[in-house]
Amino acid sequence: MNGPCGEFADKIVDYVDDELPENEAEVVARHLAECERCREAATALQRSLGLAKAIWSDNLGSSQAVPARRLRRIRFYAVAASIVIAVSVLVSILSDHPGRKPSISPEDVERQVARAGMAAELLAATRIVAQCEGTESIVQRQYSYILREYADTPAAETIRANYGLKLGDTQHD
Amino acid sequence: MCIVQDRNRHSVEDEVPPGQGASHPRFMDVFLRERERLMRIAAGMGMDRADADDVLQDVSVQVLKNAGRFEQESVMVRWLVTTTVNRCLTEHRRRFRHKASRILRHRLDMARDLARDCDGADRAGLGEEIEAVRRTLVELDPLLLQAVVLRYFCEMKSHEIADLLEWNASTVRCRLREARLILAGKLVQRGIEP
Repeated sequence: MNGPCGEFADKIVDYVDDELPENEAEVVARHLAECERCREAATALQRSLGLAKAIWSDNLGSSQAVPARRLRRIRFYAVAASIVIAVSVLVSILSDHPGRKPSISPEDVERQVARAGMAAELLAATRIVAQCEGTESIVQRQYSYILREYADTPAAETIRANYGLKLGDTQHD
Repeated sequence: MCIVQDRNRHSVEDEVPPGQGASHPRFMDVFLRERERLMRIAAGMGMDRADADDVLQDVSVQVLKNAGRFEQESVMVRWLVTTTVNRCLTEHRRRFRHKASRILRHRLDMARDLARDCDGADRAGLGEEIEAVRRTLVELDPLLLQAVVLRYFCEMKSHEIADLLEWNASTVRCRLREARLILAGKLVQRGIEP
């Protein structure tokens, strides 16, 4: 690389940053007028800093990757919350009718919520994998697994509705 | 590279025994006050807005865990800056492993936006320059990157950085010069128009 002259390298940085005392700045200015390599270095110093600032500002303002990820997270929590609310309402309704014995115990509720949550998580993970090329067979097997093991969950229902898959459509693991 | 001892460490004297000194809200107050600067540091360390938010959320949890650990406000600020930088470096490594394609797409979008007003060859050249600078920033020694971000993106003076990080003033200038020459060198390598 053709860098600036050794004795001036550091001073040129300070010069473009305007951090040199006046007398030293004059010396550097005179050298820059004569030396093409150092002029090139000074230009590169200014331009690279400008680009670095543009990159940093862009990082600060960019949020294009946010929605998908945040949305997935929000959707997952929304699904989980919906399940919990729905089951709570069901239990509440059943317990408000003393003549009718609840057909679901708190343990069942807990188990079903856990299963629904697990299935939703698996489905979310599968969708992420599905965005990569060459993963079709893995994705198919994963959907099939969810349908088989978590058939009674909203995640399985989503797979059936959106992908038209039924248990047995793909080879099982 | 400057061979200067890195004093960016908290000494035992900086810490106060549990239950004494700074109260829990005070450290959180300092964090909230410094949040904007920490956000800029995270952006400078390569995080996008969402990742920077996540980083600061983690830092806020650490603030709660370390409530009462420090007494002096300057030590708190130094701790916040170094914790943010370290958290960014961890996130950076993880991000580049798992999200390379997304980052690549983002880079291309940014190059296109910045080069919108340029003609064909200029646009290609600018895109290459941005890519060269971005890659150099990613590969830069964290100590150099930290100094450059604080100086040129957080717009702190060299002596302020020296106070904040407990570096010598000469160490700060030395690291800034080295980082700037590395960045500029990459552009010179690929050829730069005067």
